[in-house]
Amino acid sequence: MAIRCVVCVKQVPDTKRITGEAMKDDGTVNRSALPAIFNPEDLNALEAALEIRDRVGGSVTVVTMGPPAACEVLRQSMFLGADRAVLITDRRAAASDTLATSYILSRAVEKVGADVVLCGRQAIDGDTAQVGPQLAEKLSLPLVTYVEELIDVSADRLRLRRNVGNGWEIVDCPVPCLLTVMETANTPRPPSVRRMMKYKKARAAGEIAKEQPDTDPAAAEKALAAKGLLIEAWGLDDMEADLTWCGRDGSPTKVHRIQSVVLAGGEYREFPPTDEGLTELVAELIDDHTIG
Amino acid sequence: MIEVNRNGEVWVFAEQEDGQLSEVPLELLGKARELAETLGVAVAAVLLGEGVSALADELFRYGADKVYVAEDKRLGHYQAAGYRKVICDLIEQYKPQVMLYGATAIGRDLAPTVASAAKCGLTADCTDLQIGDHKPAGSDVTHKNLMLQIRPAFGGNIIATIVNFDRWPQMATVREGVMAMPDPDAARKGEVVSVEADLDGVALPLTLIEHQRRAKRVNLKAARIIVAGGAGVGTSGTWPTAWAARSPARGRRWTWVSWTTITRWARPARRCARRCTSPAASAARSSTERAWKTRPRSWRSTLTRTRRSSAWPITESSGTSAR
Repeated sequence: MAIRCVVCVKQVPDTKRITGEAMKDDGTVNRSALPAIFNPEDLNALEAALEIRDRVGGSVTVVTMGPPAACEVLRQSMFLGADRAVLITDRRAAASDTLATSYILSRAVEKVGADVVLCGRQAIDGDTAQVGPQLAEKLSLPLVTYVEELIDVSADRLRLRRNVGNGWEIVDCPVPCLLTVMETANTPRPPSVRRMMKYKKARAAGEIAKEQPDTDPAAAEKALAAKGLLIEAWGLDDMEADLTWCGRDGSPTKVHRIQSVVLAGGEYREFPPTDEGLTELVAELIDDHTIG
Repeated sequence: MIEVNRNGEVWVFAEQEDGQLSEVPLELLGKARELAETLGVAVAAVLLGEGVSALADELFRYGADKVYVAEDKRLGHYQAAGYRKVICDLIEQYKPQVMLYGATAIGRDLAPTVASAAKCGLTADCTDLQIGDHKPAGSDVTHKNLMLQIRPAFGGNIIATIVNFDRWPQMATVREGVMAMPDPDAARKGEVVSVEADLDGVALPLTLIEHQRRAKRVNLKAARIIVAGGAGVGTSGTWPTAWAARSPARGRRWTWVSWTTITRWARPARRCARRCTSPAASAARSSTERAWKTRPRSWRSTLTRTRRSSAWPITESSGTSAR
């Protein structure tokens, strides 16, 4: 029997390469200052899914939630070997916190149908590591977090090594289950050139309308679907999601205040490059309790 | 999800492993006391496991007024499903207003699972917790005495304050070492509330095959100063002596991290290989190139860098300004 894997991925702003101000004046995140990338640990989750498929057969479906621009990560997943990609996009899903996001993803995973659900340990923008466990609870699946190694994979059981901070554990987990994967678990494979040439033209319906406003969207969609290049785009209604648990209304946590961290330089002092200068510098640092 | 309960207690999840309390819950008890005193309610710890009731005394010493103890063989090895069931039952029954967890491997696994089942909010990795009022935009109602959950986000580029005013309990995780450890008071006593763990019908699907715990060799958290270095500092022999010579007669007051640990941290080989082969990280490749190009610098630009580095203490304080 084969294992159907579903990987939940996220397009995130590259918080390590921030340019300009992180926040706009109105307190929202200035996304244009941040290049969008594939969340690094989601790549490891995808690699783990591809490994499972390589070992016991099955399929890999990638699901992401976001604006149509998030299709970029879905295309990259296709380059790496995903069989199917689904975009969840709906204006009513905006401003979802982790609880609402996990609810919406759970509806999508149920619609796709999964034996093993994989998530990256955490996304680099929020760093919460909450959606994976919450998704497992919503789907009533056994949860294994911080997976570092797939030791043994069979159709009805996985043997995994997980990191527990001050050591590790090897656990047996029945299938179906949900895993959150760490960066140390594997090295994502390089994309296949053949797949890149094929899937670089893959688009979701929302993207076609934006990129080619003159063409008839229905006809363009049909043409893409015929070539197998249409990325499925689902709204909340397609997944029969209960709107009370989605978006802003479905999110118990609210933002009270956001402050931008401004790193400013202060005064500086120069010391002569002599032994006395160095002694003076060290003495001052010690007085300052910076060292010693 | 429970209703807003202004008389609810402030709870701390008392994480233990193999009958040994972790340090985080003790640190959290200090913060919980502070919050509870502002709110005028009691502090309680929630202790789950097998044969753990003796740990309650330690929790009292660090500030708990009450300890809810659930003992069961099935709670011996942590599994999200069992712990979630017991904690959700407790939340339903006693309706606390706040619940805090340590952001450890267990806490970061358990807290979101409980939040999902209880359909309440959860803020991860808070650096500070305060009591304050919140008025939603476009609303006339001011919610008084909420827990303000303060945390850095977007890679530390912003500090966000999060509230949860309607779907309680208000839950947060806090990383180890963030809150100050309170001084224990040996005379403090409290009330033990034994709870029956109703785990019938709860599937505990994971089987533990093998586990290994590393004993902590270096307590980085407790160190006031941490000295770290890269490959450029010389050899394992010369490096520490250089440091010792710089602070004569002051003794060894810094924590020594072993040389092997440092070389392991410093080696970026694997990460680079991965970044370069993945199209998703093609942006990262250019950043590597840039770092390489800027290496041969003139004396002048080195000077500029020295000036910038004088701002490090300031950078650090604004990074954690919420504390």
